[in-house]
Amino acid sequence: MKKTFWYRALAVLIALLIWQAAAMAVGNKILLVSPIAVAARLATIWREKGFFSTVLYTMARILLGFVLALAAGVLAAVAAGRFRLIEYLLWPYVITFRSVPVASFIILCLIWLNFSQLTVFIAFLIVFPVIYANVLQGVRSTDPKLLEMAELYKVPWYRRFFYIELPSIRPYLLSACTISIGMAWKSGIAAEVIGVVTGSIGGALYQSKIYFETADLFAWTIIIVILSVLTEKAFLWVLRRAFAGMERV
Amino acid sequence: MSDIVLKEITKRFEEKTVISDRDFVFPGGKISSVMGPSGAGKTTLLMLIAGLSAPDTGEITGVPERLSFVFQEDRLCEDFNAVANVRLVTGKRIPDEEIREELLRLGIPEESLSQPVREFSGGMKRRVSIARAILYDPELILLDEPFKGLDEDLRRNVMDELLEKLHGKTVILVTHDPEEAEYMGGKIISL
Repeated sequence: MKKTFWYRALAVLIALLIWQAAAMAVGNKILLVSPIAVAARLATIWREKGFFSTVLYTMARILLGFVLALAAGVLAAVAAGRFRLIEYLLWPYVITFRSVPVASFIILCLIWLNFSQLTVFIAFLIVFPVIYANVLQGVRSTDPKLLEMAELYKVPWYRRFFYIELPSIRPYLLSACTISIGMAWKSGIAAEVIGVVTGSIGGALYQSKIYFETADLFAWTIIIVILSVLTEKAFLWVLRRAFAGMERV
Repeated sequence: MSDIVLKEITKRFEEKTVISDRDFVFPGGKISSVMGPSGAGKTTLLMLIAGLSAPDTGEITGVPERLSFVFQEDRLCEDFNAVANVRLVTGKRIPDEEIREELLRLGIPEESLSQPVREFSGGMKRRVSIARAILYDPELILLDEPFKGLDEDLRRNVMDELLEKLHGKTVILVTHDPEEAEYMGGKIISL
């Protein structure tokens, strides 16, 4: 475990050195900016006016889209698990969300919606099918003998959900959340870039393209990755705590 | 309390006929024991009475609305503790304190009450399943080999608890142990 960590750290260091060497060989900070320049930019970028409001703008919308998709996905999957008809009715939407390119949806949303809803909607569209498919699989994996027991004892649906279905959904839900938070960030920001949403992270990325500020592009990218990892960890922590709390009741 | 009457019952699983054109009467408010070799259809009989499985032919009458079933597999919610497993079926109708007392009477150690039942031994899970069936306060209780995996002392303890709590209710006990059937008393039905 510890050994792996050091090997990985060493590999990252080597990669950074290669990047630095390549940047020096190219000698053009628009084409390839050096890691040192990116680090320097990172140190100053967050002190600029509007940085936190930009981050907050995008983060709030991505998380809102994610949470809405999570709630809708779980509800839809539980309903579909119980009634085949609902699964069939939802099928065309799920297939569409999954197979249509995000870019098409983004353009369509730009026609339908205003800028401030765009990120929320795109994050929702991307996350919903992932949550739905995984949770449905979890519902399907619920032990039929436990469900039979619940039927015999006439357990009301909310208690059956809480005690029997939720525990079997849990591992599927956790892995679906892990995958989809990252996807929500990527697609949400892609939407902001295409829509040129001012005051958003995607908007900032677009600005760096216009002004050939490659250091800004890299700095923002690193910030996005950090935010994505942090929100993923924080959300999973909350979810695990919630599950652990439930077991203690 | 009315008798439970099964008339001309046949139950097949694919090609195999498990119960063939049989009649049974289980007296209401009393204990009956069903005995027979394994594969004779004892569990199937309980599933039919519980309504969890339908007979191919025949008719079942007199089964009350509220019934409990101690399944051969314990069918517990493994992530939850013993009290929560009982509360699943009782809801808030019974205070936690009463659930706890029943579990203690059935010999679950006090310090285990807050552990998830996945950490329980087979015998402990069995007794949680029995506590759940008792506290549901049924009119009819179906017991499928409920004492399997319990040692001699515990078995006595659990049987006494069942006899006390289920007095006046219809009890159908499936067992292959004549001693158990005798101890619990009542009618003995052979399959």
